[in-house]
Amino acid sequence: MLLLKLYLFLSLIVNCVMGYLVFVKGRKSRKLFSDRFAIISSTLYSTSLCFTIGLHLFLLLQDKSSAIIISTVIIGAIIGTCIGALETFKSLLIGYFHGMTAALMGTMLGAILVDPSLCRLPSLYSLQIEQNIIGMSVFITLLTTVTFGLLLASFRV
Amino acid sequence: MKINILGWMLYGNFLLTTLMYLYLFQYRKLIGFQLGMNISIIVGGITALSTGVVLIYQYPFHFVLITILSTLTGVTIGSLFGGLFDYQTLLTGYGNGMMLGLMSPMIGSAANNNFPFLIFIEMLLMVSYLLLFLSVRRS
Repeated sequence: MLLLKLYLFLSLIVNCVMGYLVFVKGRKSRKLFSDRFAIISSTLYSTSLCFTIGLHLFLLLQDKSSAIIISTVIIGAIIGTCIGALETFKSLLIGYFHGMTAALMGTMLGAILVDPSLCRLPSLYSLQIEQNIIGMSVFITLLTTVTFGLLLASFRV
Repeated sequence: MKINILGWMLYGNFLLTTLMYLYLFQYRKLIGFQLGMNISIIVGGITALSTGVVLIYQYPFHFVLITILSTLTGVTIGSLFGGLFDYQTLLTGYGNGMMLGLMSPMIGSAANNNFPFLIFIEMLLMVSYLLLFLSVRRS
């Protein structure tokens, strides 16, 4: 159990560092963005980053669930606002909304992985919770890496 | 009996998506970026939703695997339909397919093998493809 928490913590750190690197790269080239591209990039970026942060935080600290949900939504809203504030006020609103929604969805996925009877999944799942948590965490990290790669490739344009 | 119906449903969805892709491929020069963005959002989202719901009805013991599969389906189809127009519509379709693909097995397992819900999802897919067809014709 301790090893699982350590793994989840390291995964959270890796995701945050990747998000910060993309932020720095986008801040350098923010003068080149058109109005439409600013909206699309802030949508995709805040969605993927806040989803991973919500999922990993809920899996890491699953004891106090309601406090975790409130704090992840606030964190998601702040991160989305920071990302959207790179460009214009329109993208600030879009980033705020999508960051909030993605943080809520990430906590929802984490809640179902921890307690499968919430969604009426078969009772076989209660035997393999840790396996499911690790598989989903690896997949989400890979998906975030691919998304950030696409974003970095599009910042050159 | 039921497994048979589910398999044919999935096959029919992919056939419809392929036909829609071939239809849009002819008219892709005539469609502006605003309609292209909406097309990539609708097709990526609705395909991921229907794939996740149908697969979780059929194999209720593989939640994580089905989440991965439906997310990859949504990402691929959203990117393919968005890639018809330009890079920004590709990014839009990618993001929306990813979001709905991650959510859809949860909806399917919470519906608890309810048959009218499956019919509703299929009707949603048919209606959205019909609307899409009509809007491409009008533009």
